[in-house]
Amino acid sequence: MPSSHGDLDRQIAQLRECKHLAEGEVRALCEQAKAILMEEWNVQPVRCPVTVCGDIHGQFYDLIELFRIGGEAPDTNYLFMGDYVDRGYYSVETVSLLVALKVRYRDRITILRGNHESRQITQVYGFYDECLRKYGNANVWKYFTDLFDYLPLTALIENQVFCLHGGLSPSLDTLDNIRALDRIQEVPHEGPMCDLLWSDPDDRCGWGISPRGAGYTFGQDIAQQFNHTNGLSLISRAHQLVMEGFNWCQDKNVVTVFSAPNYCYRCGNMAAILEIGENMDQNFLQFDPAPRQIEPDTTRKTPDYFL
Amino acid sequence: MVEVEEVSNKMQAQMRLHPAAAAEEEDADLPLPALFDKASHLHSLASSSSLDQEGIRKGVDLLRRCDEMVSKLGLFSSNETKDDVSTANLKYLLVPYYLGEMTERVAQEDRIPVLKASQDHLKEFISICEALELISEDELELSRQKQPDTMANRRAQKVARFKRQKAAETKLLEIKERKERRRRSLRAAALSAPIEAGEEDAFEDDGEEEREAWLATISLALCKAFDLLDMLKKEEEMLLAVKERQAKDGNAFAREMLDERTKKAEAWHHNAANRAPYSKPADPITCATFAQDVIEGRASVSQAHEHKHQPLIFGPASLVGGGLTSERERMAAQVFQPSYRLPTMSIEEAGLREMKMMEKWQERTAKMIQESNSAWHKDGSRSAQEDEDAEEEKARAWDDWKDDNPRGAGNKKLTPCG
Repeated sequence: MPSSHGDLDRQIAQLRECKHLAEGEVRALCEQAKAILMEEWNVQPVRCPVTVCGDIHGQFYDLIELFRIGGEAPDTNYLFMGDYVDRGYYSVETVSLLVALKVRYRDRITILRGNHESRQITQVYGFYDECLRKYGNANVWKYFTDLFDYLPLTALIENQVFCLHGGLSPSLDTLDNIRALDRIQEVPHEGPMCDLLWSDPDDRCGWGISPRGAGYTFGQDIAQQFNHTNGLSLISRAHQLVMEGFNWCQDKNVVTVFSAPNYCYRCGNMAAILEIGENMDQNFLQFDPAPRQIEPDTTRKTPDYFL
Repeated sequence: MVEVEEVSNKMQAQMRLHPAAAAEEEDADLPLPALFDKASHLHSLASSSSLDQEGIRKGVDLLRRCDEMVSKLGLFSSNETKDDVSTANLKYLLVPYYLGEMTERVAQEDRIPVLKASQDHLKEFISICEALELISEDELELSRQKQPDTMANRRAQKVARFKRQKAAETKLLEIKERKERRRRSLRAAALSAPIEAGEEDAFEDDGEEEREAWLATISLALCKAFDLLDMLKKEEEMLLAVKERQAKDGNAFAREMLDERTKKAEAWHHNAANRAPYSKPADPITCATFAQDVIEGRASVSQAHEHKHQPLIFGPASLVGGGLTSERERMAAQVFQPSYRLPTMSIEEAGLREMKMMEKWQERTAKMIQESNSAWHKDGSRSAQEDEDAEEEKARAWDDWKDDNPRGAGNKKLTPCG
């Protein structure tokens, strides 16, 4: 359907300028995306070459910088490991752009669910406020959080690199276990689905209690066993701020990728993305925050209660 | 009563000759009492607003014919008083009132003629009642005196009218109850006692009572008529004003009103935005408003850490942004509170906190590693041999585990690539 693509291409071009879509357009977009994501698996298979990215957190201009460094979509295949919203000033534009790209180039971009792709978390960490501020009501927040329920939890690149947002779960030993989960729901407070989005690797062996209050910490032994059982060479995950943008740990069984430079406009960290080439060769690209461009947004919506 | 019927029969004969009236189906033959009954029934339906436009038009038509008959029959004359009007005829006084009320309910494009006609009928009703001395003294006084139209006067007038209305309503209710009670006792008496007992009495009583009831109804109608007249007058004035403006500026009127509103709102925002750069940037109240300040150029990102969490004041930018000079403004701003939970720290604060958490985590790990290393260093009793043994044991256990868990066993349910 060239006409609908034309429409979508226009929307993508608009979003690239950091101008958010109309409420009705967001609804239609989310409906289309839902239909696509519904077809995807809990462990979504992905082919190489692909570029793996970590948290974005609404830092829109840094996402544009990421595309500049890593190559524009769809020329480069992308795999995003969640946390598109909250914290940054442009969660709406960021998540809209990624979803629009997903709808337009479904085989070229994979978007996973992060712990911030949830109703509860977004109400506390900024996405909800931003939707209200930009649209004057919470409808857009509702469309997106409904869509988040459909995002795949993990991805598997060429049966070797396992990608997910958080980490492992004591109740999931195998990929087949993960495939059996019923994922279309709000992220629960506990249990396997929650763990995948909340856990962190730790230097201590075995399972530990997470200081985050959700998920667990897992040691090198756990990661090693998991990789062996499932025939994996690497677990790639995001979820944690790392100053260099990427961080190897657990004897190269696990790597953390974080793609929000100067996180929260304050932390001074670098960002990174992981390029996986045609022969599964790995290459990290680091980048600094985009030179900030602040354009006065004159089309500010006045919330209904001011009228 | 007999007299009325006689005359009304004559009337019907006359009306039958009238072509327009003759066209009016079965109702055409009805004598005045039946016509009135029918019309007043429609009127009561209309008052409870369960009548459609067709019914209302029919009611108006019937009432008009009642009115015509009443005036032809000359039932009321201005040199009589209420005592000269027979009980049976009293109710026909209500015809112009009913007509006024019903006419007002007619829906049509141009409402001004409707208002005018309705007012004419109501005025007619009031003037007849005045002639018959049915209007209470104080109401007359108020309307005659032409008192200055002050709020206090209007209020006093309203209160007095309301009291009269209440009194009339109570009286009607009382009469109705009395009637009901008597009917019941009559029926009981009829069953047990010979008939002659008090039948005439009851009849006489009935006549007096009926008069009383109609007088109360008229007094109630008067109260309502005065109120309605006031309302219609105001509505007419308003419509005329609109019409006048419309005539002057054509269709631009509605457009203009909207434009005016938009302009006002825009100016409001514009002023606020203009004022903002001169005044010092508004204290960021939450990360949301701070973000907006950054986007709109009133604050820069680097200022972020300076900002303390302020007591929450939301509201129009003009109130929040331009220093709240008075208590009144501050309170006004506080009225416009968002309906949702507010952030408790800025984005930057949250980022720093997360970074600290990570640092702590790493520190703790580093310390742990250091401790274990130093212990290993200090503990001279532990030999290299023992250490090697431990390593070997660990490797063996790992091999055993791998034997039990073949590589890739957990990834059997392969799914096709997208």
